[in-house]
Amino acid sequence: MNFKLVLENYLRNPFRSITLSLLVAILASALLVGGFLSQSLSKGLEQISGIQSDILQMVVWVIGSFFLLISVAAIISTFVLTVREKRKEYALLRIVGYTQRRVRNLVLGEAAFVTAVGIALGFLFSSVAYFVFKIAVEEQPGLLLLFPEEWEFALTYLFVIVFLLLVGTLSVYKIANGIARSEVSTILREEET
Amino acid sequence: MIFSISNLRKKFTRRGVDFDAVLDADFFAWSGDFIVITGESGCGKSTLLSMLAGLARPSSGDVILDGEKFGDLSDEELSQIRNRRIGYVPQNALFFPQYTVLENVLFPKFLRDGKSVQQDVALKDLDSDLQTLLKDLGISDLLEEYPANLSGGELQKASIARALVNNPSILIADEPTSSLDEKNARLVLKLFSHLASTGTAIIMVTHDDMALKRADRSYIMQRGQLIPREVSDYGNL
Repeated sequence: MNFKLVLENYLRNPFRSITLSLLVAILASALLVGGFLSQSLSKGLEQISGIQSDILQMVVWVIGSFFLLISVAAIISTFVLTVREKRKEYALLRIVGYTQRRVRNLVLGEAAFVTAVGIALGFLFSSVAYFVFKIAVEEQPGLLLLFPEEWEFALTYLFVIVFLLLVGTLSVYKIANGIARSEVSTILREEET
Repeated sequence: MIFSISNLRKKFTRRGVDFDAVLDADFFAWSGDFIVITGESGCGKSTLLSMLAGLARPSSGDVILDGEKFGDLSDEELSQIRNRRIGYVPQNALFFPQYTVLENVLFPKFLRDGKSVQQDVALKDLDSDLQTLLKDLGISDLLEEYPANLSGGELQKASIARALVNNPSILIADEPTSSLDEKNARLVLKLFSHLASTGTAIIMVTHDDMALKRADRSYIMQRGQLIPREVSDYGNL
């Protein structure tokens, strides 16, 4: 994969690239903050015994899972739409001599790069948000929240990195293969209609 | 150099019904041939050119370049031929919007040389033949512009320049003068005639009568069949 071309395409389309990365960043932040809050709330609820605590814990995880699914759907649909918008450019790469493998790797590389930048931004946003939240909570004694352990933080960060990278690249894997294997004449004809 | 097709066929499916966009086409081109193909819209001309350029696999039959059948080649080998030996001018000019006109024109050359797109390349840094080509096409003042700022005719001329940047032995052009006025169309046809005189085979789809007058041979496509023009003048085969 030509990393320079991936980076170049990212920098030369700043509006589109940064918009996509910001979307990933917002989702990454939501996942991280949601993850920390879920963990904090669960730890707090564990202090209470009884069926109400169990139900509340289940509600926390169901809501968390719901937001996880929404984030997956949002990333997949946005990435797929963006790749489809660039079909003509990928057809042009084939015209000038790019191989199918190279086109596919470029599409996947671009998706991975946008996702990686978004994750980095998301970490920044969520760290700031969590720092502010922590100060606010520490000033409110009696709140049913216990902060996660350091290893739980690390595990949440690792989960979000792997999860979003997989979603970001796998969401375009099928369409990347499709575009690489499509006959250029078919793409050009579709664009004319 | 000899470039030929043998019993070439391309089948598509439309609304569940198979139809032949190209049917048993036979054709050859030597170095320096100037060949024109005409025909009504939708008769299979662009599909034929796509197969000649190795951009579409035929349903049956072969495209053969100097004894090598495209069907026997891997995608890597065919892509290399497309980069180095075939120049293709699509019907609608296609450009990378994030690169300047010059970067777009040189893109096949960067690919051939294994380099990434080089910024800050100026006209004076190019070899003299390429400088002459860009000046002859009248786009040397537009090289620092982005494609969005060019007219359809200017983009078409830049598209022709890009197809020629690696000195291909075959130039395949799908209606390369459709967006050009008469003066610029003549200029392009004159360039094609000059290229043919230096050994490049030109295969061109057009509705332009001026091109027919310059061609060594011409064909007409009718319902997917490629018919030598002299025969078609006498009606159905």
